[in-house]
Formats: sequence, C-alpha cells, structure tokens
Amino acid sequence: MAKLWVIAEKADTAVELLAWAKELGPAEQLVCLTGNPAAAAAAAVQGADRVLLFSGAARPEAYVPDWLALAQREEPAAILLGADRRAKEIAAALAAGLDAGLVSDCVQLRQGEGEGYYSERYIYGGLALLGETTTRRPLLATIPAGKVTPLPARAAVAVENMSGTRPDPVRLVELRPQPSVSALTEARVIVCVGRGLLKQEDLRLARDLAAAFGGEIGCTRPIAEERRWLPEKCYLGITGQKAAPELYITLGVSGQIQHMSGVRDSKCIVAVEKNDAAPIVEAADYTIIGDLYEVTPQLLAALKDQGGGR
Amino acid sequence: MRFIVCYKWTLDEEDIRVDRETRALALDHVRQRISPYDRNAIECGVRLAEEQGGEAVALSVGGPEVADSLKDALSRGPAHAVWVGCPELSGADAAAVAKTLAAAVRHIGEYDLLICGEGSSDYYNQQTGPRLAALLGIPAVTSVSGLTLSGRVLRAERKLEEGLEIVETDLPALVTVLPDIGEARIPNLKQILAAGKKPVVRLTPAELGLGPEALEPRARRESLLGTVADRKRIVLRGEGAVAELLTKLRAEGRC
Repeated sequence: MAKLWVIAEKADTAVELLAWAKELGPAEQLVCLTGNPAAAAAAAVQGADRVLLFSGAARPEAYVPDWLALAQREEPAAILLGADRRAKEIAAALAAGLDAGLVSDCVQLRQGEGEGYYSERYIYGGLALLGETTTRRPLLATIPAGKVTPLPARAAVAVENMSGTRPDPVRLVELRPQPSVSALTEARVIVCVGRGLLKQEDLRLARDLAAAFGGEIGCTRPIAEERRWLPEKCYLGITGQKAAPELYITLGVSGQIQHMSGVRDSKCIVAVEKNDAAPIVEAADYTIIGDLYEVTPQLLAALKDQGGGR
Repeated sequence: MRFIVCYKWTLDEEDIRVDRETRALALDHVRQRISPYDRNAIECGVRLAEEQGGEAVALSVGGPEVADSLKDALSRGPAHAVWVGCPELSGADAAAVAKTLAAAVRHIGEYDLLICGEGSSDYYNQQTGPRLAALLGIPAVTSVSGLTLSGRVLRAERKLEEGLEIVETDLPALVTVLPDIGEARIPNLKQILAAGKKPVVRLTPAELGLGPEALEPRARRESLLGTVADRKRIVLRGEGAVAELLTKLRAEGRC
C-alpha cells in the first residue's frame, strides 16, 4: 500500500487535501503532516489514517528538513499541499530535495497510466490548460482551496507528536496579521471596475451599482496595484482573488486574460465597455457597448424604477 | 557585494491566439520578452549593487532564443550576463532549470544574494527560486515586498495571505520578489547602447557538468488546450440596451 501525504497548516486546507488524496488513491494510506494542533485534530477525524504533529518552530517552513528526511525514508507516492505562498515555498524546497516534479496551482489530479499521475493546470496567464502525466514518483502538487468537499467525520485516529526540529535559518521577527481574504469569494454579485474608470471618486458609481444588486465591488490589478484606489484584496485575477459569482458585471474592463482567468467560473458575465473590439466582448455573455458614465446611471435608474435589482 | 539576478525569457501571452474550434494555440510570431516579474527582480539587484557597492549579474537559462534577451537584460543595469543554453532547455521544467541555475551559480563562485521574480509570466510555477535555494543549501525568503541589508544580515518583508511577515536571515541567501519591490526602469538610449558592450559568458549544461539525465523532465505533456470562454457574446447597443439587458437577466433569474 502506497502512502499519500498531505501537508497543511490550516484545518480546512488539511481536510480538503485529504479529500483530494482519497480520490487519488482510495486504498492508500493517507498521512497528514502539520505544525498546527487544530489542523491535526481535524485531519484525525476527517480522512487521515495517520497524523503527525510537529512542534517547536515559529514558522512551518522550518519543518522542511524534517519532512524531507521522513519523505526519503517513507517514500510517499504523492505529497499534496495548499496553494498559499508559504505552502508553495515548502513544496518547492521538498521537490528540489526529492528531485521530483511539482504541479503548482493544480486544478485536476488523478491516477494516470502505471505509476504516473495525471494533472492539469493553467499556463500563459490562464490562456491554456496544460495536461501532464508524471514520469516518476513522488508527485508533488499545490492545490487551490474550495474545489472539493471534505470527507465525513468518523472516529479519530491518534495524533503522533513529533520532535527534533533543526533551527530555522530564517528568523521570524514579527507577523503583522492582515487578512487578505475578501468578501468577493462569497458574493452573489460582483461589480468590477477597470482602467476605464477615470477618477477615484467615480468608484461611487460602481458602489451604487453593487448596492443595487446586493453585491460587492472588485477591480482589476492596475486599479489596486498601480492606482491604489482599492485595497489589494479587491483585485480579481489569476494572481489575485478568484470568484465565481452568479452575476459578474464589469465597468471599463478591457478583459485581459490574466483578469478573466480569476472569474472564469462566473455564471453570467455582463460588460459595459466603450470599445467593441475589446477582448471582454468575447468573454462576456452580454456587453453593452457604451460609455460607463452614461450606461451606469441608466442601469441604476432602471433598477430603482423596478424596485431594486433583487 | 555580488547580486545575481535570475530572469526568464518568456513568450508574451498577449500575442498568443487560440483557435476557437480546435482550441489549438498559435505560438508562431509570438514576441518574447523578459518575464515582467523578473524585470522588477533585475531592478532590485541593480539598486542594491548601487547602494551597497559591488555588482549585479544577470543569469538566464534556456534555449538559443535567450540570445535575444541579453541586450535587454544588460540595458537594465547589470554589469555582465551569464547564459546557460542548449536546445533541450527550451521550455524545460522547473526541476531542470533550477539544477542548471544551481550549477551556474556555483560556476560564478562568490555571491551574496540571489534574486528571482516570484514566478514567471508564462508558467507561473513559483518554484524555481525556492528550488534553487534548496539545491544550493542557502536560506530562501519568498514573496518579498521589501528588503534591507545591514552588513551580512538581510531583513525582508513577506506579503503572505495571512499578513505581513518580517524575517531576518544571514547572507548568502535567496529572495523571490513581488512587483512591490520597486518599479523596473525603462532603459534609455545610452543604457541600450552601453549594453551591447557589456561582457556575456555563454555556457552549456555539459560545460557545467550536467548530463542529459539532469535535464530530463519530471512529467510528459499530454495536452495543451486553449481556454475558450463558453459565453453568449450578445452585444447590446443604443437606447434600449439597458432595458433589454435587465429583461434578459430577469428571464435567466440572475437579478
């Protein structure tokens, strides 16, 4: 029986990754490695056959030498991690140590031919989907959250306490908590502004429209990172927040692939755009060709006349 | 001090066209450019060399096409460039690239800080930097939005999902930097002309002692399909557009 490893710091990541691992090899032994007691406890009831809890380090990155040594001994067939920045660093360091392949931001994973695993991920800013089969084990993958349902709870397995951490060459000075998760992932309607918006004050138009639909406001990367009109947690795209609302409305968004990749799973996309040759026209369900400064007030008036958007 | 900046010569995805029927990608006539994230990395290395004294070295790995990148890279301020090239390195995976970079860094010899972009614009694997650090056995600090050096101590700010992490480590070390690290300069004519005169060292993996097995990919490509948005693509114009849109959205139960 092969071993499938899951490495996670957060409880919800751990249980999601265990569900992925179960799909990958229903009969394999699922092992969860973590530095967080809450994640260990969750894994112990939701899918793990073995839970190893590491302690003594200020940052999970410090466990990499321990995990690497253990992986060399236990030879897991696959190692799954979350797709947050810490996890990506850990995954890459392990992959280098094991001379193994690593699929970053993996969106599809299954048993392939023979010993191989088949994976899919987006490349070229989301323009293309790449399908690959690993040629040797182990396979490592970092997997974004929110794609699978965790396994049902059952009687807990024992949590094994591990020790023996080496000192971290990177010293933690301070962690300033500043959650970057936004309300966008949960929103039913999102109104997104792009470079077509001329002034920061004009965000009011987008806010009013979002309010009329009972939704949230988002933006493209330049609005957050270059103009700094909205916080970074508001920007949607392949390197920013990802969302799949019922209704996605864009105002002055040209529709670059890097942006659209972050919202590709939206149920319906509506664009207000001046330029009828902009890529957004091809990527939207409905495009009103027109000036957002004329169309948005008309939309607001029409929604008000008809008793709001809901 | 010596700052080695790694960069990748990538396809500009804005030039890639997808055939809506076959989902095939048209990759001919696609321009190449230094990955935008790596331009910020080069800027970071050059500024550090100016501040601290010493030099910035540009390092790239890839196929023969990388020759076209050298002048652009050098016009951005590095003192010289090192390019490890062979046809097998065109489109090589992160495992092969990191092994080749590690061999090149060992060949260069002395260094204080390695700087990589946080990911490349084409594959955005976000692996090469931390893999390289692991292979060289030096500390890695990824997702860095700001950094300072005092003596042999690097202090860096990492922008993480849960907040800002401030860490310190001793040189030599490797950082991967976010675009926040500083805007990349646009080279002027003088810098572009000067770039042509800067030295370039060209090496092959074989010269660095890497055999074909080191460059072997860890996965076999099965498919590469353009993503085609399955959308209605209905265009509305003129006076009735807003009313027509709302009628359609209501009919679909969207609002």
